[in-house]
Amino acid sequence: MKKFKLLLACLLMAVSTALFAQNRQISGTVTDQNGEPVAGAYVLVKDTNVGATTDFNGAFRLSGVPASSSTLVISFMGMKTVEVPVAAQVSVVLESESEYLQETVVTALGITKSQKAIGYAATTVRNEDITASRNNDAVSALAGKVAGMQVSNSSTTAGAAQSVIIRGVSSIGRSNQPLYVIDGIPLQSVTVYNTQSGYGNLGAGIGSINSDDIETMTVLKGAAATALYGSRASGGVIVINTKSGKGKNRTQVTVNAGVQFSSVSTLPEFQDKWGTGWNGELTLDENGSWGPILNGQIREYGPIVNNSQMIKSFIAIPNNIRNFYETGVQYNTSVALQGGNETTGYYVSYSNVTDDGILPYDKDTYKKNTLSFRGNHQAYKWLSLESSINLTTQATDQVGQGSQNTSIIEGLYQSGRDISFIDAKDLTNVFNTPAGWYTPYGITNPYWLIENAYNHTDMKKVFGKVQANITPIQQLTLSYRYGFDYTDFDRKLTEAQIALPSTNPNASSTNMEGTVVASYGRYYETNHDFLANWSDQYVGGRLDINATVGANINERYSTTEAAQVTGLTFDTGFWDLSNTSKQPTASESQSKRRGVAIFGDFQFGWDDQVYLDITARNDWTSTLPIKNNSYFYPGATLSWLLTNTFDLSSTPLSFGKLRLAYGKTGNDPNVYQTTATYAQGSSGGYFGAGTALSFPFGGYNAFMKSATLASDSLQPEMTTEFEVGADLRFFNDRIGIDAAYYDRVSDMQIFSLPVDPATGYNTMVMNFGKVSNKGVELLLTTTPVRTRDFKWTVDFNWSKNHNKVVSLPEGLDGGKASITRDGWGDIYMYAEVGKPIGQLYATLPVKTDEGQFICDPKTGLPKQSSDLQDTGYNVQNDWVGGISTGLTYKNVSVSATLDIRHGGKIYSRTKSLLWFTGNSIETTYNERRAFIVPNSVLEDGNGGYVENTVPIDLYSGTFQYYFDGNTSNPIEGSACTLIDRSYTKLRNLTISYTLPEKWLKPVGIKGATLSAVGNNLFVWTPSSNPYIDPDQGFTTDLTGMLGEYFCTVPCRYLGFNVKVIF
Amino acid sequence: MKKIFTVLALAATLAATSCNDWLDINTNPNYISDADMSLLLPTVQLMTADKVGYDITLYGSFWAQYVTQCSTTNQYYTIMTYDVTNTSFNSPWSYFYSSVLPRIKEIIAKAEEAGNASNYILEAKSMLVYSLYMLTSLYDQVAYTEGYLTETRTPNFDSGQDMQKILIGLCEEIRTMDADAVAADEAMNLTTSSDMVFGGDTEAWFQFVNTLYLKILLRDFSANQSKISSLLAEDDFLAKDAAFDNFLDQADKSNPLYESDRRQLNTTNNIRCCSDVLNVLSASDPRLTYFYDNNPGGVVSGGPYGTSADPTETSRLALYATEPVYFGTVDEAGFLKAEAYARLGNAASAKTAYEAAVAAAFARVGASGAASFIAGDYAFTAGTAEAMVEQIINQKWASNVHGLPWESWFDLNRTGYPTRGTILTDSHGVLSEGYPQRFIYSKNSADYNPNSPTPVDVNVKMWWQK
Repeated sequence: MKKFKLLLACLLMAVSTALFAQNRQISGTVTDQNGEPVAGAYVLVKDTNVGATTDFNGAFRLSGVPASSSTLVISFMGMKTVEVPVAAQVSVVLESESEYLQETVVTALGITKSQKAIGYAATTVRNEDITASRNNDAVSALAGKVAGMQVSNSSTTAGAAQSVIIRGVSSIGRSNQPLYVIDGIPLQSVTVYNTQSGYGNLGAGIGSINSDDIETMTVLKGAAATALYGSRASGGVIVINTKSGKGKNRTQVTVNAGVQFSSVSTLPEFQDKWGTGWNGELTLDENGSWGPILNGQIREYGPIVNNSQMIKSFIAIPNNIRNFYETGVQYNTSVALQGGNETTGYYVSYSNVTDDGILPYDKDTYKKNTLSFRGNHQAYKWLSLESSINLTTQATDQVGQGSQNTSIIEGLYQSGRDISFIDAKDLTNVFNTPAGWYTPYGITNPYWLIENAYNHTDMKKVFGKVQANITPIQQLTLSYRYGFDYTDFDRKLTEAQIALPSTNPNASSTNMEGTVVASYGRYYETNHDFLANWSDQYVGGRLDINATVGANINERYSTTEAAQVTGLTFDTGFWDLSNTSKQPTASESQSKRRGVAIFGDFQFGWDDQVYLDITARNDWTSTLPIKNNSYFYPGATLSWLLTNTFDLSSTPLSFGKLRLAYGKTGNDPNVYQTTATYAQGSSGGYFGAGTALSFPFGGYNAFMKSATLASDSLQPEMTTEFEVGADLRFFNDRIGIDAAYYDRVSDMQIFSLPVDPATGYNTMVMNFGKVSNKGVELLLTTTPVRTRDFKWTVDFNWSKNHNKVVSLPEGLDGGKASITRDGWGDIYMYAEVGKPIGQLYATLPVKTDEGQFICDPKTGLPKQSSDLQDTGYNVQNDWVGGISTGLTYKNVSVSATLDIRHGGKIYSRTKSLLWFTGNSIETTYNERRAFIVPNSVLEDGNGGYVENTVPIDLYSGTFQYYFDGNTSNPIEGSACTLIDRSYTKLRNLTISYTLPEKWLKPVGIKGATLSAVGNNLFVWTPSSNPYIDPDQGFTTDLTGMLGEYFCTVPCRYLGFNVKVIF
Repeated sequence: MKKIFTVLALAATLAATSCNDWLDINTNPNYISDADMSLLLPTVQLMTADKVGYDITLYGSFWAQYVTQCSTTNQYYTIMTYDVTNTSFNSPWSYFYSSVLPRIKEIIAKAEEAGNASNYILEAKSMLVYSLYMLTSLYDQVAYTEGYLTETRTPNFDSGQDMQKILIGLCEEIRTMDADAVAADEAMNLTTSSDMVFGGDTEAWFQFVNTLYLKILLRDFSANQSKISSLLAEDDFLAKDAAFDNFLDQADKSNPLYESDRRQLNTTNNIRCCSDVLNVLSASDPRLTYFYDNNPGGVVSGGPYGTSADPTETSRLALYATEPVYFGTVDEAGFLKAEAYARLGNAASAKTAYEAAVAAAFARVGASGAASFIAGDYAFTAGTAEAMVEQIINQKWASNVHGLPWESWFDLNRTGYPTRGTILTDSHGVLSEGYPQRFIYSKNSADYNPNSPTPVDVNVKMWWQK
């Protein structure tokens, strides 16, 4: 810090020395058309560095104006820039201009285009809007702000990978995630998936970026916008433009520091009337609340250890789970230094995030450090150089939230409502360890799990670029850019051993062998880009031509290795592969892909009215069959600025643009799908995971051919999109409407299509099937109040996507392809012709023609279909929307974002579990008294039906089965585990106060803002979902949309932040 | 000018060629592109052992009524109560077809191409007959002539009766192989390091096929009577167990049912003893304590089939990490011979074979004292063919608690023994009538192959069943 100050002092001295050499003084005022003063307008003496900003009264004062200068340039965002002759006293009137005309968008390959010339939907979010909420990753800040874009979490733990889907799911088998491009360089989105359930997937992609470094983020949605980025852009592109010292001649240090406290926001609603037990009986070692009514009696419970047993009152502890969690703390600090002169600019930043989550102690932590350097230098008039290098480290410690023994959430949710957890902290008490925990049914004390958890992941990322731009003549720029991204992870996932003697009642279900898994992955990507840009005006300046041709060479490589041991020698605390007497198992994997592309972008602008843009790209990729590895995709867009063609100044329309776009994007296959391979022989695991038997085996080694038939005729997936849109602003931009309609078809999906194994293969790789996405996106921006001191804006966005599987290959049963299923119940997710991707199938109750349930005469429970049936539900939302608002009164501003999703269903293991355990409020139906399933009949044995007279009751266990999501007995069949996906969430609320300049100036501070921030403050779900925040999946992308296996508890963040600029 | 064009054209060609070379990297470095037959045979045997030793043993053990589900857990409740769907039987179908049969086909093709490898052809074809026998015994209709042979995407299936003919044909084809030539090839082209069942003992492979052949012929005794007679006259059946005996007490290396039920599952209490076995075996039979753990009271006891058993009162099925998975046993061969002789009316030979079989069954599990039981409780009584068959099948059933439990389920369906209602608990589970006779056609097949057979319920009899 001391060095910073020294540097600062030196730079300040240099600037002030320059100022002393001048002499002339100018003062004046700047007002708008209404005579209101314009505060913050910038007044610059043309062709010099001398300038000043106006104060609250619109007044400015310039000193040291060189005698040779004759012109002043006055500019202000949203107003037309004017030039006036130099005079001792000037007064300037600025006319407002549609802000829009000035906006620029950084589009394909780092080319900056004027918003007006763009013929497709592109939404830009600026630094202030990204960083105000102090999220640790930039993409979370976009949630609810961009029409047609859905941001979801794979877990609420800090550092978890995000899933972003733009304009619906297009690909059944490939990624639907967007490509992130930072300053022209594609960012590798490395996701560290979890081999064991219950840990969030960790992301080393967009989450590795320091949000404070970002100047703008632009979301490019359609194929016409993204085509130039090539294969990975078929899911959209998020273009990130970072801050640089360019164009600034003042040294500036920005410090941004905050603290946020996290706490549990929503928990499922629990019943508090019935306590531990099963079948209505008091069995105080049960993992559920199907026992008698809680009556306050003192009872012994749990096993007898050393001739003693625990006792407690049989009463409900309503907040037993909430009390288990603690308040988490997150610190977020960043320092940035930027500056430069006319030829050189630089930007250096450091940031740190430290998060200790809501689990007790510090086993759920996240630490991120970033260091960035960016520089630019105009070496000669014809040569400029740019470089950037960024370094990120992330370290995550997690505690398993997964299934059974190692799961905290199971330990909590499977316990009776009368079990207290905070009393179980003392692990020296045998009753708080697996040996004495009150239940033998495979769960144990969450505190013991935390104490014995060690799951650590380190991730590093280094990325950046070197770029040279040569301008031999004014119209022509030749660029070469070398971009690189190196990402790696090192991780250890462990499980302590529990080896209770077989005489211990907890032994059979609680014992675990213990494992240590050590793994690492290294990923790199390099890009060489060659660009030639020609930009000139013809026909007396009426025809604008801007043409770029270029080439890209890309290589991506990854290597991963994992080694595992089981059966630990030291039960816990020693997490090394040597901690076993058994043979370790190891595996490795490498992949490499290369691509070459040439592309062109030709833009013609006529008279500032009509813009035509034609793009084309041809790719050659290593992942296609070598003889047929080339594919081409063109695009064209048209943009017409109505308000520049017609004089509409007498109408409310202050700006109007119509857009038309057509484009294609290819999506090449994954690596190594074109040739047959032999792998070391092994058979699949017993529960859908791992392996059961594998070579080497007793001195034998063996191989087997892949059961996936490779294809030597693969083609790329091809997405074709047509888009129309309008951008209209009224009443001096007080109201704006940006609307888009798109029709996107993704054809020739690459899929490992399941086939009858009788063919000799389980799957065949092939191109098949068509998916259509049609949708509407609306963005309404309003400024209800805009006065000198008070500004209020409200923006609404809404989008509806209609997704449909158009065709799948013949021979696929019922025209549907399986995507995934849940791990416990019987919920399957399909892509089915004529329906949106993600149609949900379940076993459903059998009904008579009159719609009555047919019950089993022994149990009184509805019979279930033996086959899977269409539930009529789908995982996709009907529509999504958002409202964001900003209020500014003098120095105080308030902003808030509401994220709304409506419709669709999500699989919830939490619901399934809370029904199974009798902890859910819904399991108190009919006060748990026996009842006959309403509207039900029994078969009379002669093909007819008689009234059902068999009640279901607690004591025979049938009442429980009625609520058992595991065995599919309720009246909804296994579909009972599907719940409404709708929610409304207050994503963010920020109140900030900008300190007056008069206080700061004397102490040498340029600006300071204090803010109070709140994130994920409230979530409202329909009454049918008293269980979870549906904004999560067990993994990212399409398969993750099925639902949650064990949702991490959602957190609410509240905190404070200080931003100071020196 | 022309020169420049030539140079440019040359440069362009060079660039295009070198570019394609640079892109020609789509060969997976993690796998090899081909594997020798000696590296494929162990895969065939391991994968077969995995499916036979896990899924098929589990279903066989329940449906032969050796075991019942524990009352405090419910892992196999649906198996016990016959509450199965077409998803229940995906795994054996898909493993036999995508892992075992294609490898067998490859081995045969590679052996034929290489020459002097008739030993590989013998071993691979024997595994082919065994796999097809298992598939048709479990599922009835099987894709063979259009399935594994042609790689059509939508194969038609062969009927059970046609499979019987195909199996007989394949057995006879193997039996006509020149045993001396095979032995000579084995000497030149050792399979000791790749044959995980017999370690390259080609004579044993012929005996395995003969035993299998007898078993297949017995499915239709009257039609095959003369073939059975001549096969018995040859008397060249298994003299040592066809056992996959390579398991270690390690994760992913142990007996599949042990690995799954005892090592991987979160509870090890699921599989309880069914009391039916005590209706055939004497309480003092030493094999009982090999078959089952003692209950908490220190004795072997079980509960009735179809009802969840109390773990505090019933024994658990004993499982061993290194117990082999059997494809055929010496005692099975003996019981098959005994049954054949009994059906031919030759009581004396039936008795000899029966007694040898019981002795082999004792020996297989390391139990002693067979002789006194053969003379005593398990003594063979000559009688009508049917009465002798009942004795033989009952004892065969009791010997296979560990061994070939699925064969006991097949025999139960084929012969009706041991009799339900007297020896076996009569339980229909969730079925409105009947008992499980077959596996339901795999969902993987039904979903993706329009020529997959029409679904048939689990309680519908196959052509060879009584």
